[in-house]
Amino acid sequence: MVRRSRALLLLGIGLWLGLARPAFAEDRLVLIVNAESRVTALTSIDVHKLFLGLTVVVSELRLHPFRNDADELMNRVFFQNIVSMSESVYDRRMLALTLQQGRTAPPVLHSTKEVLDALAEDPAAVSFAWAADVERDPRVKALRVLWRR
Amino acid sequence: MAPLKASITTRITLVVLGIHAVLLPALYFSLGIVVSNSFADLFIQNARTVSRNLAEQIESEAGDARRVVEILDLAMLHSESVYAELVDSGTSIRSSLNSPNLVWPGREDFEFETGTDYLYCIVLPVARAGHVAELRLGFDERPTADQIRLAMRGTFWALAAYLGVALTAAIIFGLRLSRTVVHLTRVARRIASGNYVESLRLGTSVRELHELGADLENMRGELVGVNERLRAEIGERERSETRRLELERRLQHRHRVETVGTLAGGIAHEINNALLPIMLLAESALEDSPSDSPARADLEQILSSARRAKEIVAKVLTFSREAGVAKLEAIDLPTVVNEALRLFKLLVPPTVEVRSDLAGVFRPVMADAALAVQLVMNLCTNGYQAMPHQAGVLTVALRNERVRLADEAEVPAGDYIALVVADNGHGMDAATLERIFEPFFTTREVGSGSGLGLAVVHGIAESFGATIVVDSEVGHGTTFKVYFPVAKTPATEPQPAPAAPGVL
Repeated sequence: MVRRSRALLLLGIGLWLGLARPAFAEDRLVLIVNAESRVTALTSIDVHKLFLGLTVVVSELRLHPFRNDADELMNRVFFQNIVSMSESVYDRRMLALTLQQGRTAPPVLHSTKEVLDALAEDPAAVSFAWAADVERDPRVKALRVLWRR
Repeated sequence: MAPLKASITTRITLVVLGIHAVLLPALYFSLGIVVSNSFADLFIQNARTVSRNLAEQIESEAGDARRVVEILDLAMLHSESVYAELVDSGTSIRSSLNSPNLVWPGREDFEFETGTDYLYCIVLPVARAGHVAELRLGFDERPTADQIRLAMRGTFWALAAYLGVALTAAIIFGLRLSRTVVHLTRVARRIASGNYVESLRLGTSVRELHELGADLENMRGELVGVNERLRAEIGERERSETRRLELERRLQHRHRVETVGTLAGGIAHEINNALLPIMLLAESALEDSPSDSPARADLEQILSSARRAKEIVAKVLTFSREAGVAKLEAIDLPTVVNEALRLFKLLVPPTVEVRSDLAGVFRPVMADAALAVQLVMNLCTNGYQAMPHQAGVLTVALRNERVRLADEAEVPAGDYIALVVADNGHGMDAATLERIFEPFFTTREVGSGSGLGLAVVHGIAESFGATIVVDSEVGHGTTFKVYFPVAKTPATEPQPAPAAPGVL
């Protein structure tokens, strides 16, 4: 009876460790583009400008940013590490950009799948996603690490 | 009816306090959220801007560790950063301005005041020559937290001051409202107690109260009017009742006098009829009796007594107006009065001062001159006899008088010549006044008066259509006023007006 209970406990711990494995893995937010894109690298300044709605042209390709809003952490990282602005300031800046210059803010997509689909169809598209979500998708490629934990 | 609990002021104050007890905390916490978020947003924005600039500068300058330290130091000098470190390939490059006791907490913050160390931590990947380094920055949250607390403290006191002002205003408003209502209550109580003088108009700018006061004032005006009308009606009824009683009294008096007059007249006629053969036979017997007859003295005594009885009978008949129809004609009353006074002064001792006031223009009156003289003589004699010790002042006067309304039904309305005979004798009480015109009624000693003088005056006045008004007060004298109706025709024998008033 005691042996059976101990075995069940060990099995439970093993299962729990197996399921919880991704949580202990390193989280990396990577910048991604279409796999066929001519863009091979982007500086942090370019990324910053891109997601602030400013024009960024690389290899004669005008880049199209897509904001990935798949989860809360990604959203927080976006404001703190990519655009380096508070959410309200970013919103005001986007509003001013729209009203003063007629430009549009980067489209917001609410799932990584949508982001990957959008990037697969647009060679000039740029977005970001968790590395684990894009590693096995041949349609996109990662350019650089934007944030990691 | 709900029990009385609180005044208007207390209730308004409690309502204001209750409303603010709900609203102010909600407002305070809402403002707290707004203020905290604003300061936090500003703090985070600054921290992220600094982080971004610092990361870009480190990326753009591929300097050595010393240069990185300089950059980190500059960042700390120009921001609220208290910790700066670059971890490059396992090597830690720290700012020389880092606090020696501060250890990197190993976390990354995305919200303000997330930890207990008041440190906002940002970690940025920095591209360094083919690999990625890690920039660690820590920003002190305490100055911003202090600013938030200061702002909230100011907000608290501002709201407290507002609450104080609101309560003060509520109390003042309540007191003003209460004062107006108290004024209304006080005036209403006065009105209830019969005092209608105070106005109910309210000196208030509150429209509803002003209108209420105006309406109540109108009601008060109506009430005053109704009250005055009621008082007037009550007064009129009282006067009517008094007049009715007086008329009843006069009617009874008149009936009594007429009854007495009728009775006396009947008796007088019978006595007169009996006296006639007595006097004729006595005179005949006296003429037939010898001059030395002892019976003559008896017969003369019989005749004397019979004549005296005849005079009394004549007076009684005059009182009962059965002495014959008076010959009424328009006469000049001052002339008649003068003649009567001339005769009267021959009868009274010098201790009686007779004053006459007959000056003026008087229209003629309808009367019998001889009876009028008798009337004046009788009134003057009555006044003289009323004087104690046969001394005093007797005043005789004539007045033009116009009675517009029947004065207590005593004198009918019309134009009159009033003969006034006043003495300062001992006067009469009400009981005596009631009976003065009854024949044989006298207050004098038995044998000193017949009690027919005023009865004759009454009979003569009645025959003239005149009215007698008597005013007497015990100890002060009596005034007779005989109202002679003015004749429509001129006097038959115009006489000059008598001399100015003087003492006869």
